[in-house]
Parts: sequence; structure tokens; C-alpha cells
Amino acid sequence: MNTTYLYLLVFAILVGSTDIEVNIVALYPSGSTNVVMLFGTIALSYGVIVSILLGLAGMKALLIALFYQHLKYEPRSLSSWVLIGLVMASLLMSLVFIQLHVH
Amino acid sequence: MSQEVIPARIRKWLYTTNHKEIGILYIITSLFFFVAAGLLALTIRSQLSVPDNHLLGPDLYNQFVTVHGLLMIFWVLSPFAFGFANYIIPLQIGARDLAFPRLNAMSYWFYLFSGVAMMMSFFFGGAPDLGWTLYSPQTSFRFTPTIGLNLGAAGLILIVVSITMSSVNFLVTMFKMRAPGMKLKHMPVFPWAILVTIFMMLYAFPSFLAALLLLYVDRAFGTFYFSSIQGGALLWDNVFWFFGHPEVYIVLFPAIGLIADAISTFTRRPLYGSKYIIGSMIAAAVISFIVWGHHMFITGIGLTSTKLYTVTTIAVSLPFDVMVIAMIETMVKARVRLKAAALFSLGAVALFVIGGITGVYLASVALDHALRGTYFVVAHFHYIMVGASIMGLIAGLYYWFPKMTGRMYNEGLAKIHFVASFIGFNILYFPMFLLLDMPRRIATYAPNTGWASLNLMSTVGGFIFGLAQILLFINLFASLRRGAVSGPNPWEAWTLEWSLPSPPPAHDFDTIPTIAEDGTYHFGNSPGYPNGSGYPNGSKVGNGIGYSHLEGQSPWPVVVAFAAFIFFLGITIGQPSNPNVPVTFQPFWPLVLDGAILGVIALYGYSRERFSIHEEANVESWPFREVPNVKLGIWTFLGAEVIFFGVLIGAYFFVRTNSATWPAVGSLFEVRSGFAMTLVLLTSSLTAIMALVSAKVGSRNGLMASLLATFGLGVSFLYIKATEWISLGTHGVFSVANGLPATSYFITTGVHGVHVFAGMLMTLYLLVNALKGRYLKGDYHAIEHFGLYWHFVDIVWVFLFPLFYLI
Repeated sequence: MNTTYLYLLVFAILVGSTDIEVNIVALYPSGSTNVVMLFGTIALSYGVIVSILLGLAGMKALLIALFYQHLKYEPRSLSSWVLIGLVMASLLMSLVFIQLHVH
Repeated sequence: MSQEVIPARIRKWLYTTNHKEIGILYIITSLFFFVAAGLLALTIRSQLSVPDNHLLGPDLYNQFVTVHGLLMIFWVLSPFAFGFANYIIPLQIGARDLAFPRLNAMSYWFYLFSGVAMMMSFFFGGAPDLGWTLYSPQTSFRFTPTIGLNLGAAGLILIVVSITMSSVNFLVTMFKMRAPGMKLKHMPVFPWAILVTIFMMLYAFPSFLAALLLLYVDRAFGTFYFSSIQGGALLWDNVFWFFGHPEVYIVLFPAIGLIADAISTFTRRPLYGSKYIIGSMIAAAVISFIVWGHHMFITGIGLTSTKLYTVTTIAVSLPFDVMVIAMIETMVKARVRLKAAALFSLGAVALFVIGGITGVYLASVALDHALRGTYFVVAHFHYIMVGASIMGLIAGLYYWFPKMTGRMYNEGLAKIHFVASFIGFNILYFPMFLLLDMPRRIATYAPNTGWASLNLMSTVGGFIFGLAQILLFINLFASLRRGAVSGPNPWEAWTLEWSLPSPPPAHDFDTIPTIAEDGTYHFGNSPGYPNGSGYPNGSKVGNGIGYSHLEGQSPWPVVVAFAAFIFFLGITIGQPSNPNVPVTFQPFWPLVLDGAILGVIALYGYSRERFSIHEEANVESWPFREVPNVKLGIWTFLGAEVIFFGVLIGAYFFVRTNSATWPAVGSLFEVRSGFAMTLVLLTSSLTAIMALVSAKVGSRNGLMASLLATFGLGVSFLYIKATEWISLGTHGVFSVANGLPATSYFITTGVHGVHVFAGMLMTLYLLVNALKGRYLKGDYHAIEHFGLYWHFVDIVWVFLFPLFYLI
């Protein structure tokens, strides 16, 4: 695929997923756990909503890193380097959060 | 600045970018701080020598204790080790300099000015006086309304910047610039120790930087991160010790590395189990990040956490056992040459064992409850910090002095120095183990406590130890002029630096050496080296690569650092906004402006300066053979940024989950506004990548248009952000000091906004150069590097948007 088209496609996905994020919140009545979907209402806990939003954010970050920062095309050593660093950082941060939460 | 204004001898040191000269600057400066911190320590000991003493009042005593700790930990131990690393590591791995020489110089100057800021704090209403841990909420401006603490925080921020720059530089150098044949497994233990240390620094220091930033905004703007009743003090504890415990190993590992290499040299044996020593360092480094809670056993962190930290704290002691056993095994049945460097190494190992074992006691919750905050802990960590680290680094000073100066020191005097230091040290610190019922950080004590005799003994030991260090300085100064000529390899050592003349020439190697397949290199006056080559076992000297000229000087590193110093002086030495209710303070804006203007000029000069860095071909650069040095450096820097923002976001989570109520979605922020900013930044990422595409195909117009669009979108983002801030302020919804929702929002998005602003300045710079026709076809790397940064800033916002606007 032409790289310009690829970049535009990634951009479209990024914008689209941002739109989904906003709509999830718009459809999520304040103080309720029900999300109004086209086909009806589904009950989602606040934690699930937060997880979906952060999951979408993670996906967007991954797309930017892979395609705009070119990690997908870099030597495996560099992409592994970044990945290992991120995994370790995430583990450490998770531990901090767990520690804080347990408290 | 013309030659007439600054004499050549001074200019040489001000402008140098040579790794050896910068190494010497680091060592001399850290020794200066060592003396300063040591004098503070002697004064503290004098105060405690007898009961009811009034040599120092409580306030001054607290300041002395705090600054002594901060100076020793941040301005002595690590910089001393990195002085050696600067000088020695390029020589040991067969490189001619560090990857980024000017950045290296800038690191040094940031370090120097950071220390000046810390020392100045004494003259601005009193230095920091809360202990080196700077526990909250005492650090809030309400409780400590002194400019001195601001200056101390500024000094710490500057030194963290210095350390981050150094970390990136050393990491790229060691991965990308090793001599042909010098595989990672062939590196001596000292470079390995520095490599592991750097990884720890890259994870630990951004966390500390984030904590300092939050502390600063708490003090400057009256925010509530660390003074909130929703666990603000505990937040500081967590963030500080997440950095603080690894910091202990950060200051320890370089000493262990050089001790291991020195023991190998003075026993004339390969280091026993060197792979296991290195593996143990890596294991200890990883575990060190999950032990911080043992510093918080008495804060009520919960039983589960307590159990976890007990286990991990005991576990972290095991790798150190391996290191010590390997060193002892190296010496078994060896004929150890007891030179001063060897004596200090052996002494350091012995003291480290005592310090280590007493540390394991503190992993026990029950014992920790009893011993926490007593002189037992003081003794324990001084056996590590001084006994192992300082003694080890002094071993390094004796070990490499001949290489750095070409002169031998006086061996007899050095041995007296060791005996006096070792005896003085133990008289100083061992009694503190017995003072396990005496609280730390008390300025004096009553006669009936029973602590007087042990304290007096400790003080006598302190003076013996302190006075012994005078012998070191006399010896080194005298030997500089009158010492016997050392020759290239007085210790018959095996590592690569000893193959060079003492001191080595500016460019280090006439030709880059090639290392044998088995990684061995014997040379100098060791028996068995081949005729004249200096490299036996099939290794060769020379591969026809000419050396680049490495005596290049640059005025900009010192100017950039000075500008940062002025800027931070300006934002820290202002006056309280309201002297009657000292909750916040006003920066001294003229100085802030001066620093900012000078900084912009200096950075522009830095970027415009013709300073070429010659990258050797055919070097050993696994695993990053195909990754350019600058790109690896930027990715490493971005890794540090991930931790920095991770801590800011973590702090947001903390304050949010600890708050009983939090404004509902859409009640404070317009989701539309956040959505618009997200779209703007995502679009700017697209234009940034299109700039790279245009540059690669040589389209000047495309490049200009894309950069211009990126700049315009950056402006739009900041405009929307500013509008939102002003609107929130005007409507009185909240101000920065108006509760935790406001605090976390303004600070986190504000720091991100500063990153956007910095990116826009870069875009502007690129635009100016693109106008002149640069960056086209093969010259696109600057655009690519800018993109890496800009996309990262975009990624951060991708997370901030849902966190602040949607949940």
C-alpha cells in the first residue's frame, strides 16, 4: 500500500476511535450503568466503561507508535527495546497502582 | 566570547567536550562537594558529641543534616562514579568519546549549577531542613515558607536533568560505539555496572523529577498534591521511595563494578563468575523497583503490601550475596598485591557485608517497627553509602590516578590513608548500631539517656575519618608534580584503557583496536603479549580507521546550563505572595525572563554550531547495528518521558481514587473542547508524518506546507487549551489551588502543554531551515527525529483526553 494512503487510513482509524470514545460517554447517562445502544440498552459497570476507554486510548497509542513513529518498520532490536521498556514501565506503574489501591 | 575575554586555560575547561576532561571536572567537583558535605557531617558529629550541646541550634542542625544527605547522595556518590565513567568507559570499550560530546558537557554544567543552587539555599532564609527524604506535608509552603527549600528543589530538578542527559549519552555510547570484537559479554564489569546503573536511572529519576515538579507547583501555586488530606503525604512517600530505593543501588553499583575489576587486577586472576556478578546486578536492579514499600512499613500500607515488600526485600539481598562470594572466590589462594587500590577494595567489600546484613534486619516488619528512625538505620546505610560506595570510589581514584595523570601516587601514604580511614570509619559508625534506641535527626539529647559515650566515640571516629581524607588530597596533589612516571600499565591490568599512554592522547586511540574473538586482551608489560602489537591472542591493532579530531570546543553547553540556572533561580527566589499568609510565592519574573531569553539564544547557538561527530564504521553495536545513534538516544529519552508522565498520571489516579467525590463527566470540562483538541493533535501527527514523506521524496513545498500545518495545529491546540483555562478561571469553576480536580487537571495538562510548546519551537526551527532548502532527500533525519517527539506528545494526549474529559 502507498505509504500516504496508509497514513491516511491510520488517521481515519484514530479519528474514528476518538469518535467512538466520545459517543460511549455521550450515550452513557450520568449516574447510570446503562449504555443506550442502537439495538437497546446494555448494562455496563463504570469500571468496564473506563477499561474500554483506556483500551481504545492504548490502541490509538499503539497505532501512532507503529505507523507514525515507524516502530513497525524499525529493526526488531529497536521495537523490542521500546516494547520491553514499555512493558516494564507498565508493570512498575501497575504495581504502584495496586499498592495505592490496596492501601 | 572572544579569546581576549576568557584566558585560554580557563576557556579550555569551560568549553571542553572531551570525555576525559569532563571526567576530571566531574571528579574534582564531586570531591569539592565531598569536602563540603563532610564538613557538615563533622559539625553534626561535634554537635552530638556531648549531651545538651548548643553548638548548633535545632534549625541549623536540621539544615546541616538535610544538606549533608542530599549533597552526598546526589552531588558526590553518583557524579564521582560518573567522573570515572566519563574518563574510563570510552577507553575500556575502545571508543574515542561519548556519542554526544556536547550533551556530555552540558550534563556536567547542569550538575555544577545544580550544586551551586543547593549550596546557595543556605543564604536564602535557610537550606532544606526536612531530611533528604523531604517528607510531605512539611514541604508545603504553608509549613516551610523558606526560599531555601525552593532553591534546593531547583537544584534537584537541575541535577535530574543532568543525570537524564548523561544516561542517554552513556547508553548510546556503550551500545553503539564498542571497538570491533568488543561484544557486550567482553565488556569489563565496570562498564556493565554503569550500564545497569543507567537503566535504573532511566526508570527511577523521571519518577523523582515528576515528584519534584509536583512539589514545586504545590509550593509555587498552592496546589494540593502532597498536602491534601486524601493521602497526599502517602503519595509523596510512594513516589519518592519508588525512586529512593533504586537510588541506593544507583550509587552502589559503579563502586561494585570497579571493585570487581580492581580485585581481578590485583589478584592477577580473571574475575570468578563475572557473568554471575553481572547477572546479579541485573536481578538486583529489577527487584530494587519492587521493594520501596519497606520504607513505609510504619505508614499503615496494609498487610498484603507488607508481606510482599518483606519477601522482595529479602530477595534483593540474594544477588548481592552472589557478588560478594564471587569476589571472595577470586581471592582464594591468590597472591593479592596489597596496593592502596586493592586495600580500599577489600575494605569496601568487608564493610558492604556488614551494611548488607544489617539491611536484611529491616526487611522484618517487627524489627523495622523497632529500628525505624533510629541510629541503627543510620549505621546501616552509612556502611553501604560510605563503607562500600565511597571506599570503593576512593579505590577507583587510586586505581586510575596513574592513568589519568601519568604519575604514581605515594603508596606508603596511601596505605596510611586506608588504615586511618578504615579504623576511623568503624569507630564512627559501629557505635551507631548500638545506639538502636536513639532517634535520628534529634539535635541534642539529655545526659541521662546513656547515649553520650557512644556518641563521643562516634565523633572521635568521624574526625579520624575526616582528617584521614586530608592525606588523600595531599598525596594526590603532591604526586601530580613529583610522583614517579607511571607508564601505560603500572598494575599489569587487563582492560583496554591500560593499552594507552598515561595520560591518553585527546583522541584516545590512534587506531581503533580490534578485540580477539575470545575477548581477551593482554598488553603493556604483562608477560605473553606479542611483539610490539600490544594485543595478543590473535587480536590486532589498527584497522586503517583514521581518528577524528576530538579537541573540539563548544561554548554553548555551559551557556545553556547557565541559562537554566538563571531561569530556575528566577522561579524559586521570589517572595511569598502574601507574607501574612504564606501559602504561595511569586517568582522573580525579571530573572525568569533573563534565563528564558538566554536559554533560547543558547539553544539556537547550540543548534547552529558546526560540531561534527564522527561515527566510526565497523564498530560493535549489537543489538542496535542498524539504528542510528541519535535515533536510539531519542527513543531512550522518550522512555524516560514515559515514566515521567506515568507518574503524573499515577498521581492523578491516586488523588482521584482517594477523593470521596469527583465532578461528574461534562460538569466542569466541555467534552467538545477536549474532542476538538484531540482532533487537532491527531491531525498534527498526520501533517508531521507527511512532512517526513515530503522530505524523503525531496518535495520542498510539501515539506514547508506540512511543517507549517503542524505549527498551525500546535498553535490551535494551545489556543483552545488557553481558552478553556481562562474560561474555567473566569467562571470561578476552579482555580489551580481550588481542590484536587483542579490541581491534577491544570498540572497534568499544563505539563503536556509545555511539551506541545517545545515541539512548536522545534517546528519553527525546522521551518526556518527548510526555507533554506534543507532536509530534502537523504537529509531528512532531523524531520524524522522531530516526528518521534511530536507523535509521543500526541500519544500522551491520547491518554489524557479520556482520563480528564470522559471518565
